[in-house]
Formats: sequence, C-alpha cells, structure tokens
Amino acid sequence: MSLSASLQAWLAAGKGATAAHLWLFQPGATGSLVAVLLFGIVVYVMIQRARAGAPMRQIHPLPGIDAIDEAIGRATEMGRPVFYSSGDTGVTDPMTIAHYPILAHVARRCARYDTRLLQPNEDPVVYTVNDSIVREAYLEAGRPEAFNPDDVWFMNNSSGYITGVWDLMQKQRPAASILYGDFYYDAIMLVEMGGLVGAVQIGATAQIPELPFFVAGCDYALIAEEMYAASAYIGHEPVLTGTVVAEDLYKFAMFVLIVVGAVWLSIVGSTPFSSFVHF
Amino acid sequence: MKKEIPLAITGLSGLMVIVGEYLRFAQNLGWLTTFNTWFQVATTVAFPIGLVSLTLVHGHNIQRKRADWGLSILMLAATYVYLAFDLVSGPANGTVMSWVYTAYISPVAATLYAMTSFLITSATFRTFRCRNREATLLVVAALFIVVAQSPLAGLISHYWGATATWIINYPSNAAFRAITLGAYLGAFATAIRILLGIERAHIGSLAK
Repeated sequence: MSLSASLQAWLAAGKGATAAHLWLFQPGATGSLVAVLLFGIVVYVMIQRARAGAPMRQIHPLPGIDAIDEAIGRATEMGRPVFYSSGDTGVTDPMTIAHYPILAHVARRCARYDTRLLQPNEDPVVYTVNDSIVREAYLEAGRPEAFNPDDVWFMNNSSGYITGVWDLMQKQRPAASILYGDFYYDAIMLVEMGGLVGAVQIGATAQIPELPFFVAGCDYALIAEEMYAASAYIGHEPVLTGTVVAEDLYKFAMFVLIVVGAVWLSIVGSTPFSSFVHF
Repeated sequence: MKKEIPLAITGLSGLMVIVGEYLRFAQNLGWLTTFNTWFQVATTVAFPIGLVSLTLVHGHNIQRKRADWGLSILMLAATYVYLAFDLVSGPANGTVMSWVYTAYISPVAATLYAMTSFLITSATFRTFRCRNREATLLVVAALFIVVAQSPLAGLISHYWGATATWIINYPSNAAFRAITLGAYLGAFATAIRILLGIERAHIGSLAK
C-alpha cells in the first residue's frame, strides 16, 4: 500500500471511529494499563529523587560485571582477543537494547589496554549500532586508529553465525568470551566453544530456557533482571540507579500482593484481583 | 540537535506504541499495524549494510591474502550468486533459489542443530563438575528429576516420582515465574530509561 493510500485509510478509519470508541481502553487491558502506569509513576518518582540528590541505595555487587575487567586483563596479558556476542535477535529486543552500555564498556577497556575485540553480528541493524558504539569507545579512549573495522562485522544469521563463530574461536582462541543478549539454541554452542578454547566466559540473558547453560557453562552468569541493571551498575549514575531502585520497590509491592492474594485465596476461595486483571 | 532529534523520535515512537496497545481508538486507526510496516521498511533498508560489511570483511581477507582467503572467495561467490538467483527468479517454490535453500541450507542447518545433542552432553560433563554452589544445586535437582523419569525411581521409592513432580510444579515453577517477573520489570525499566532519554548508548556517537 502506498503512503498516500495508507494515509487515506488512516484518516478514513479516524472518521469511522465514533465518540463512544474514543479514549476507551482495549477490553481486558485496563488492569495491565494500571500496572504499567503505576510502575511508570514509581520509576518517574525515583528518577526525580535521584535528580534532586536524594541518597540512592547501592546496587548489590554483580560479580559478572566486575569480572569483565578481569577477563579483559587476562586477554591482554595472554595477548589473545576478547570475543563479544550480542545474541541472535534484532534491535527491538529489550535484551539487545540492554547490551549496548556493556558493549561500550567492554570496547573502552579493550581500546585502553590495546586488546583486540572480536564482535561478529547476526543482525544487520544491530551490527550498525554495535559498530557505532565500538568506534565511539575507541575514540573516547583516545585511540581511534586502533579500531579495526574488520573486527566488528555482520557475519550471518542462525546456523551461519554459529559455524562462523566456531571457526573464529578455533583460529583466534579468545581468552575471554562475553555473551550478552538474547540467545536460543546457539547459547549452548557458544558456551561450549568458549570452554573448548579455555576462555573466561561471562554470560547474560533473560531467555529462561538458556539460563541453565549459562549458569552451568560460564564462569559468571547474569540472570534476567541483573542484565538490565548492569548499565546502572557500570555507570554509577544516580538517575540510572534510581530506576533500578524503583524496579525493586515495585517488585516488593508485587511480592506483598502475591502473598496477600495467596492467603486471601486460601481463606475466602476467590480474590477481587482476578476480576481486576481481566478488566 | 544531533542528539535531541533521535531521542525525541525514540520517545515519541515508544509513546505511540503504548497508546496503540492500550487505547481503542488507536487500534481502530491501525496504529500498530502501520508502525510494524514502517519498522519492516526501516529494517529492510539496513540489510544492504550487512551485505556491504560482509563484502568488505571478506574483500579485505582476499586482498591481504589472510589465512583461508580462498574460503572468502567461496563465501562471496555463494552470496552474490544466490542473490542474483533471488533477484532473477524470486523466492517462489520451484525456482533455483528455493532448490538451493531446500537442498543445501536446510540440511546444513538441521545438521548443525543436531550437533547440539553432543554439545549438551559435553555441557553436562562440565555441569557435573559442580564448579560452584549454583551448578551443584542444578546437578542435584537435575539428577533427581532424571532418575524420577526412569523405572529405577519406582524401585527405590514410590515417593520419588511424586517428589519430582512437586519439584517441577512448585519450586521450579515459582523460580521460573520469579525470574520472568524480574526480567519483565527489568525490560520495562530499560524501556522507560530509553523513552526518557536517560539511557543513550543505543545512539552511539550521537549520545555525546
């Protein structure tokens, strides 16, 4: 459909929408909307508190993130590269979005220590963003000439990526392997390849079926929400930390709600929550 | 403005998707469908960039005669010949492109996928070394569940299978839901950080 036809259809649909339809929520989505709005408010309040200079609770230590410097240091001492994978999925995946600050951190460290960073990509859009981040990191470290464009590249997707990485691992033998993002069946393959070449491995994902492979196979694993909190942990910025504190507060509220709901359900037999959720 | 415009576009797009998800009038207007179409167009534009990157990397391999540069020739030849067939004959069934896909790419992908079984075995061996507390817990729980699936469990105790079912339905399911809840809240907090322009790493050099 052409742009003009799309616009015409869009306008026609708008004319067809009666006043009764306007500003009404999607059926069954009101409970979800209220939950989203409440969480948004909590995050906003914590951001404002952080901006006002209110003391923020520290994020508990994340050994997986602390180990990044150690792993890059090891690679530097051994004269071997660092391998970094941002997962299988596209740019809209929250896990892909969460990896950008980590890649920037890793690239800055690699640039500073003059350690080669190998960053093959599965998705062309993610590749363009990653390329920009790594270039910028080398520039920030004051060593733009050390950036090798051939070290951040679009490799292929799915099976092509796995075979390519396998070959890369065997030839380059990275001393550190950082897997940060959304992985599928390639998680086990990447972890095993890293293990075979003796790399220190740091794995982070919120893809639950793949978590056991990271926990079992990697030296350090960041589980689900930890990978989202890592950018605040690295940056030590109060505003970013505020959003993580908001997340914890909301989680605590949900925990209380779950306990109250469970007790209520056990005693009364039904809760008012269920009708709210489907409202 | 180099920084503000991408951040404004990001914030506005995110807000419109939220409105499109929850408000009925936006659904009537087909916002989400329109956004999805725009997104597909935008990502399609990025695909040639991937092709350019692939060509440059392998072109440099050939030019500088790096290790296995002959494979780079093969890689580029396969890519461009496949592209040419696709452009000429299209992706329909019965074309050369679909034959290449069915006869070559599918078996290779299936073979690779089948190799996961060997890697899982190797990963199991690693896991069984109980390298840390979490891995030990994982091994103990896994062994318990594995034994529960075998006739051996019935011979040992009738409660073994029931206990395994309880582990799957309660502690395991509770942990699964707790991780999911944390992951979704983390993803949502990340989304808010991006919508508000607090998290800017995704716009690379423009963030400065």
